[in-house]
Amino acid sequence: MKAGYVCFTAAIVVALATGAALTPGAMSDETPLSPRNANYTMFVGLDPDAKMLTGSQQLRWTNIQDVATDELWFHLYWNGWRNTESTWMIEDRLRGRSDMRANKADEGDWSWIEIDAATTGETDLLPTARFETPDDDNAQDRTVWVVTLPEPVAPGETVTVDLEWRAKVPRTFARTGFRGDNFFIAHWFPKLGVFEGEQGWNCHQYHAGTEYFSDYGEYDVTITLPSTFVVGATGREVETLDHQDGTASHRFEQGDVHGFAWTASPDYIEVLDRFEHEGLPPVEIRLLAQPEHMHQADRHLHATKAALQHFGSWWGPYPYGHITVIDPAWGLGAGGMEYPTFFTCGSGIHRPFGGGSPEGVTVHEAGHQFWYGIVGNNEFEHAWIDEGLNTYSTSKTMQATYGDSFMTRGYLSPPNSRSVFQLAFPEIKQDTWLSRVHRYRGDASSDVQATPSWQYHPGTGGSLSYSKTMLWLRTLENHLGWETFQPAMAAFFERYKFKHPAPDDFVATFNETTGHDLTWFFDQVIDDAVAFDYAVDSVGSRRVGLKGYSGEGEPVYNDRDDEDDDEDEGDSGEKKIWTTDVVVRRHGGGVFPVQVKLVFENGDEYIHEWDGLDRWTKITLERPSKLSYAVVDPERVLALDIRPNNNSMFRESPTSRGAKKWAGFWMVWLQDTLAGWSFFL
Amino acid sequence: MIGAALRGLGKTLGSPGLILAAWLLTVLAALPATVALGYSLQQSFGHTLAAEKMAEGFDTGWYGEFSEDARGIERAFDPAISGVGGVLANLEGWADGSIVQISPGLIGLAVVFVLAWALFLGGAIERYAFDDARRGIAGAFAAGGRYWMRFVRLAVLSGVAYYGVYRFHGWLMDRVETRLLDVTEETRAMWTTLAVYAVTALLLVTVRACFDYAKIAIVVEDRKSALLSAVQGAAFVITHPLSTLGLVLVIAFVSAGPLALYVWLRPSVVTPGWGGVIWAVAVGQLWIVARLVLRLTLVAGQTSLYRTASSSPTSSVNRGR
Repeated sequence: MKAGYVCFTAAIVVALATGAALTPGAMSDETPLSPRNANYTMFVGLDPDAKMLTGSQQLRWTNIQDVATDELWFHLYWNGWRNTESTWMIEDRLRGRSDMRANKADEGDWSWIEIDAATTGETDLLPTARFETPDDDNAQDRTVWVVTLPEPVAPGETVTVDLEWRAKVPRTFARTGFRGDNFFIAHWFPKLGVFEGEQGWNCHQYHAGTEYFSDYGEYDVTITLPSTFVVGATGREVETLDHQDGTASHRFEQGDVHGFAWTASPDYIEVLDRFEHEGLPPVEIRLLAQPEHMHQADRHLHATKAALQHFGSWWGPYPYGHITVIDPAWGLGAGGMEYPTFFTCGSGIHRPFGGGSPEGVTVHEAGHQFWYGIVGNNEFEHAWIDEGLNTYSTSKTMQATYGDSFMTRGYLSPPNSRSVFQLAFPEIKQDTWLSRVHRYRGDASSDVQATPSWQYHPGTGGSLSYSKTMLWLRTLENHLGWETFQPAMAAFFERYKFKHPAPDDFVATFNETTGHDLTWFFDQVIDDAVAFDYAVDSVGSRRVGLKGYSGEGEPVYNDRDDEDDDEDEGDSGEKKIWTTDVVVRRHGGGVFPVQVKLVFENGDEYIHEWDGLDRWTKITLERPSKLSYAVVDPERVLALDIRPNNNSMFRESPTSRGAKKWAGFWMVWLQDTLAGWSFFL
Repeated sequence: MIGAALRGLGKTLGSPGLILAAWLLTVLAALPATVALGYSLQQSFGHTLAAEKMAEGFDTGWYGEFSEDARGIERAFDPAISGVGGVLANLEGWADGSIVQISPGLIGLAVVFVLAWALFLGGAIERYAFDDARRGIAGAFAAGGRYWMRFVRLAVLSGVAYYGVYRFHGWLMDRVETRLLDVTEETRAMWTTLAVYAVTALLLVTVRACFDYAKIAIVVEDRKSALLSAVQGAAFVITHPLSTLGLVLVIAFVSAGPLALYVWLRPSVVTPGWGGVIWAVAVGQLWIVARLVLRLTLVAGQTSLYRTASSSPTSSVNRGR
């Protein structure tokens, strides 16, 4: 152990003792919004040189189930980055990510957490402690830690457990860790799982794609570290105490949340603002920005307010009264993550306004305060609820606030980093919903969405939890109408805020509040992996009338002059009538009612309603004009349709101008490339 | 070196046929692939509404599917490389070597173009070296044929050198990654990365200068050995570092002008009707021409510099027409 670390630990012990004398918090005066059955009082010290945390915590847990338990199951997340064979690292490797990172990792890059003491009352719990691997029997995984209590905790009873622990801060894995003297500390303390009564403890190992599920409670956390650091955290800072040894203790409190994260850096610049909107409670906003991103402070704040406004108006108000927005340091790798009342966005020094960054990530992570924070589903098992509902809500908010973003292309990328400069292409708009189709299409049938999220095929969580859900929510919105859809979503929010809803709760809420039995839809999108793909297969128009032999007995030959097909009237001045046939197919396994729109050359339109059940259908019409084109699902109600390009068909070849135009642009690039190649001669 | 640059510019503008030839070379090389891509785009549009949308603007829905299914040269189609974006992407690609990692469907084309360029360049250098304007474009290409094999052998040598430079660039970037491990300021990372790019660019330019003067030596002194010519070229750069590298820097500096103009004009890639399309492509072609003029100005300037700095015993009269 380094001498410096010993000294700093001694300072922390003093600080923790001082911290214990901090004044009582105000949480006890609040009206609880949640069961508050998992309450933590914690003291933690950060040694920024040794990259070590030293912590002590008192957990007061109330059994709110109707059966007793004599065990407590804890997450020890940071052991997920203890070595190459943890479940997290194995899964990350399967996603093709961590091989290089693990190979490059030095001793100081890994992390671990060790429990040094565990007691309840006078009873030492350490002799009963064991690691569990409920998900994969991986003996190398130490992310679930269990202690046995001397007495079972009966329903309604509360047990108090004191823990002391040490943890090594990693070089950032999964948005947690350090870079230089910037720290982002999430999943850092022994965190209790969720007791589900007869089903026992729901405490999954740390997985590469999913991570959250905890009960709500009060957090009273005192962080001690050098006084030069600016600290941001879950909750509101209620007290700061400067110590003579150059350290300071920052005390944060928050009730009705299910986690606590914090960050520390000497570089942060604090910007304060306030959200006010009629009908919604005000929210104090604290932005901790990077000095080189100060020119974007307003963009961060505006996006945060947009989320608070739209999510609050559509689903339900944000109840906490304050929120902390973190613009993490370059290269820290902590951007784009949600924690209770506290989230990270992420930006670069040059991000053209309208390109979607940093607004998109800010709205998304602020939005997680609603879907994840307030409605606290089991993200290990049903990540689609928080990620999907939030991705949908993000897109709605972004469209309502900024419109469709435009395409950008980045240049000059430092190693393992995003580009410094971005060139904007304002003319090329990115359709919010279509862009998600492209992210979903390849994985449309890879897994049933109801599969526990941590068991999704490696690397498909983004497609299935984020994109697919967002698209089927958009489909539902289009199908039901916003007037029906929005109250259903709001009802789900209201019913399950500060609770742990499951997929069935979502389905039941929608079936009940919309007045429609949507089981046929949810069966397909949640409990199946069918893809939706409707297409126009063929179109044609021909003159009404027979050509060839007809009649009974002696056949009579009928002639028809087709040479003047381009004229509306025949030789005798009669209006020509055309028979139009349109064949529409259902390529995918998914079934959804769709409209088929036929547009005729004279401008007439005809809408055909198709239940979409059969594999194909034919629409035949007689009209005084030939068909121009047909399009299935013209309003893109079925946002889930994985191949929107085959939804339309012209009867005759459409213009070739687009192909020539884009080939022309491309040719300039190719000439430039070839000229570039000539450099090497 | 400014004098050499001006003399080079004068000679280049005095031989508009060579500019036309160089431009036509890029057009002829690019045209077949462009036609193929246009056909491919049209096939992809089929009879769908995407054809209309792409004629009027850009259809991201169509593009998502197209890029997913793209094979061959189609993989090189990206709206972000249309217009100025393409120039910047190529500039970055030149600096880090990714320009050689183009779509497999275009590798063959690039090789053919470079070989054709070798044919053209020999004639151009001879024309600039001996101010012999009596021969037309065909004559220049015919003259280039005499040096073609030597230029190709030289290209193999230069390829090895450029490969070494890009490997060094990769090594430098690895070092930068280590150096930046605890850096949290993007600005510092940017300048560090820019410094690496600058070092790479300087090496590329130096290697390029050595082989440029090797080619000039082959033409002016009728040297047979590519290897000895390369040595001669390198020796010339080493003995005249300020003027040789300075000339390149002057041309690079001047290049910023047309590029800035191109960025400023910045023709829209999403434009309805033929007028906007013709304007955008015309501005693009002007950029290509400007780029080629500067390229030829460098060649002419280097030739002038070489002839001025070293006594050339051979004259055009004896060059076996």
